[in-house]
Amino acid sequence: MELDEMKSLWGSLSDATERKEKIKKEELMKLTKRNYQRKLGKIYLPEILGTVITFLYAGFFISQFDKLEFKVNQILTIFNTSAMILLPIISLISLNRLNRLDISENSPMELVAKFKKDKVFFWKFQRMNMLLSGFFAISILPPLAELVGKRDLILEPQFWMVYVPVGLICVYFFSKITFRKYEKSLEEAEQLIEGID
Amino acid sequence: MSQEEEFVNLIQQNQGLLYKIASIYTRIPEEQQDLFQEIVYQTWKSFGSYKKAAKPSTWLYRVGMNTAISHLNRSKKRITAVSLEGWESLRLEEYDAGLEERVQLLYAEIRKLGLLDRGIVFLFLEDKNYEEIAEIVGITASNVGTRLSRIKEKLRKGVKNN
Repeated sequence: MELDEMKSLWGSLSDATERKEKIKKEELMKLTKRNYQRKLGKIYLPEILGTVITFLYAGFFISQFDKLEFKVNQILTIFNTSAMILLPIISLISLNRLNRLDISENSPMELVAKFKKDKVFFWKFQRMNMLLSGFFAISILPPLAELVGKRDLILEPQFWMVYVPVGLICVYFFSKITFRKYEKSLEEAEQLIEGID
Repeated sequence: MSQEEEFVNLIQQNQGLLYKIASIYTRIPEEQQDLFQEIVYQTWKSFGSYKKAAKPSTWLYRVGMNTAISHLNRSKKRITAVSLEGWESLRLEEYDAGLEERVQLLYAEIRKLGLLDRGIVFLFLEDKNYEEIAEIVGITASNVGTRLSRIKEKLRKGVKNN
């Protein structure tokens, strides 16, 4: 069947929809409220929960900062704390931007173009996140060791020969699995928004 | 008339249009119901801009299509919150098994298109001219013509390969 042939049948399909019973006012109003609650819970809750947890960690390091004597541990703590504060904020802002799209003002073309831009940003952000998490997994250990009274940990050969390689291997495999998942979802998204240059 | 009554009137008068948008963008009835509900919700949320709209006739098309694009872009399979009574996918008035099969085949090919192209096909089927399609979608009329030729060719090949 060709599209022009389908067009001639569209009237018949349209008539069938017009004859459907009209949705009652009560049911329509109920739909809008239920949907709103569902959206709030499903999208924001995991993000907010993750942000609270990382903020708690950041708070812990800030409150213990004056107990750190090693300069290198102080620098690492500043880096880790900044990452724990900034990354969730960027994530929440991008999520908020995505959910604050003006459905009635933007044209579909503008909307699709914006989605494409957001996807590219999201992809770059996730890649940066992965690299940072690799560094984070290692760099959090020396200041943590100093805080629990084992500041010589980084001087022990076991730290460099066991902990660091095991940590990096774990981060590498975790990143590989996650990247594969992101690549797949990006491919699917690109298929949906194809034709926008 | 209160805002709530105006909103209910708008939805009831254009219920068929919303059903069709849900059907062209999604395949299974649960997804269609979910998208239908999302469009109702977004229409209510944006209703303040309805009266200010330069062309109220195109407003609902834009809101419906944008919601579908946004909904599918998030690409999260969700279970519908409310089950709408008597929901069924679009069917021909007089049932013809052979014709129905061909319609469904074309539908399947339409759903393989990009989000914007799917919207252009929908507006074409709704008998909108190039200028109207261009205004709703946000591209030029000549671009609509070019895109439609490409879409028709793509659909023709897709149907042939099945």
